Amino acid sequence: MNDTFLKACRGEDVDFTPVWLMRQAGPFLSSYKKVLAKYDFLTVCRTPELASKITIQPVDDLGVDAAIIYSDITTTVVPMGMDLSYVPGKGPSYANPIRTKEDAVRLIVPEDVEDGLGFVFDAQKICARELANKVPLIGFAGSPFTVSAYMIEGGASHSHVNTRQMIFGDTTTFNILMDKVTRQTINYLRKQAEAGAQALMLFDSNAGMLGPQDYRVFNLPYVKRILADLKDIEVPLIYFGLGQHETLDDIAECGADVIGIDSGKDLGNAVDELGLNVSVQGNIEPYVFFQSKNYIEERVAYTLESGRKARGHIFNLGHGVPAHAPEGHVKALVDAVHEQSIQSTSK
Amino acid sequence: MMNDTFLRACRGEKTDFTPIWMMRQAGRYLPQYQKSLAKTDFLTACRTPELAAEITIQPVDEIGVDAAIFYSDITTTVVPMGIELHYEKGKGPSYPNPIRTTEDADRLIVPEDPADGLSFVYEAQKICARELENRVPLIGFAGAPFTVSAYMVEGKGSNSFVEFRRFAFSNPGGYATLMDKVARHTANYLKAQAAAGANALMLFDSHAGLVGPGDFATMNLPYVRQIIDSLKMTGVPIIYLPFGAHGSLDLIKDCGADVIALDYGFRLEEAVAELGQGVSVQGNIEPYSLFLPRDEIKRRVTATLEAGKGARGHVFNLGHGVPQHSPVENVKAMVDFVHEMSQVIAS
Repeated sequence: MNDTFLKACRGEDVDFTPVWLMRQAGPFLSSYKKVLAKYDFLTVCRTPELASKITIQPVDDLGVDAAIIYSDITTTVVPMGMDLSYVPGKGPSYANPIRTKEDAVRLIVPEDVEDGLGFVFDAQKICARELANKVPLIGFAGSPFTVSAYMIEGGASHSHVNTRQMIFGDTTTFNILMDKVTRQTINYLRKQAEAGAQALMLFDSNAGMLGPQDYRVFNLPYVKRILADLKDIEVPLIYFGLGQHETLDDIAECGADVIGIDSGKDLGNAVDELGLNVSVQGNIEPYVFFQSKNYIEERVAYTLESGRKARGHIFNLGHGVPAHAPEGHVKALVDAVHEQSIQSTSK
Repeated sequence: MMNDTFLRACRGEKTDFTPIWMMRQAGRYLPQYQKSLAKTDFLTACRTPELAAEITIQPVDEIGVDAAIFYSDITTTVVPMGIELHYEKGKGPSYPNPIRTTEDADRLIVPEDPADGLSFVYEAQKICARELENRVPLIGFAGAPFTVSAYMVEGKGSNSFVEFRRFAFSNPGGYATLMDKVARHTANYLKAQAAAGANALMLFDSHAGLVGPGDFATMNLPYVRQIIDSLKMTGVPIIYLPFGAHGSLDLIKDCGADVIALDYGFRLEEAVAELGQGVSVQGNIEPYSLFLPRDEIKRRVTATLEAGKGARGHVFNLGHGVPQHSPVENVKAMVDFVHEMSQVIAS
């Protein structure tokens, strides 16, 4: 197996810089579009053969050094009692958002995490088998804060009015919700490692919703709790706190092996703030795909240079691959990362 | 005599207390505002000088803030450039014919006379300036070119600004044309506001965080600088709000503004240290702390004042707009706490 990705996560020596891309299984990929033309998003997530197929496609088509299981952060909490539906063009939504203490108290944390989520673990078993001689499989979950925000709003939101009102106006309810989601997330991630995931990632897409002080109180402790609980399973843990730029000194100590950095921060500065106890993942601007290949190569060089002083660097975008990114340019970026990093390590 | 504490803090002069105003202080949380808006719609209110002036002045009477900010919207500024603006209740402003091509950008005009199609703004400001004469200063404002261009390309508010980012990266020539025209028009617009009676001018860059530091430096900042340079002759303090651009403060401090407004994502004390003594700061308490109990609001106000103490000058503000459901008595309490505690801290 090409285990460069896992080595970089652990800060071991590598022959080249590994690269994978958030949303690498996405609509920019022609093979992905073909599958999604026949089935809707939730059906694909819930059909192990389809989910595993889509997970593996970018490994074959783009040559990335890791696969990430095709799933959605909103499905994890369905067995807790959330009513999830999916409207094309609008994304996932919950028909029964959490707004009151009673709503939060009613949520259950299933004893057996396979209840209602067996399709995820089944898909991962297929992926692990098919990827055995290729690349590692990353399992993931949304962070409790990000998932709770979805549960409170009932769907994606720009302003998160209800979430923020609950955090500050009804802290007790928020804490009940966060505690339950945290427990479910721990069980869910643990089971993914058992099913064959070789690294686990926590996506905190809404980490930037709160400023530094409040992030430390209402979000980070739950992240730490999950990562501390997962330590014994010995797969690398990745934390990605999108938009949380001012607390990297604290995030460095959250218990993750790898910290994901978004495009909002200069990678070199981020590495300086994080120190040498963690590896970094990131962070090229996702929209460089709309520029020329020469331009992409220049930006790759800058990002590689910025990441060189880190304990380990996994090349990635600062956010997901844009839906309309030209596939040839995505492939060119992956190749450029490999070519340029091999040249520089052999110097 | 006018309470000019706000202007003094902008310039870094000594003040007896820390001045405060709040972004979106003329907003839905205020019963008087709701009354004014009940009879009309948003765009009509903006375009009716008597009504816009009334709404502008309400928070000075009701909340006791130390500055009024002109009631308007950043999307109206560019209508005379030849773009159609539409407003739907509950959906916000939109441009039905967004800018998507070089030809679209080429077609935009920069009116010779900034009063063309925008005279209602200056008329309203003349009323405000007259009515506020012995009370508090009036802040005029505009959206920064990057933020306004993002709206013009996307056609509406957005979470991800997919079309705008695609345009900016795939068509640098068209992007430069658009940004240059919007910047020139914005400079004329702000100059005319100063002539109409605005005592300070603010550039709102609500989407500055869409790109990271490297791209911010080339795609955004030069246009901000161009505007601020051309406004120097007006002699009024200039405030720049680079919302979400947390990785770019070292670039921002030299943009030419007298005051850098900070969102709640910044650590105020560290930001002050990074910005140095060449500029004042504005900000940056968490807006949803208005939902906390009164004593907790007081504690946070005190902490924010302490954090801003080292700045050349500190204008107290929220890190974003007043949330629409904020209890009005808490908003009032925050203003009082700022006035009270800043004098306690100073003594």
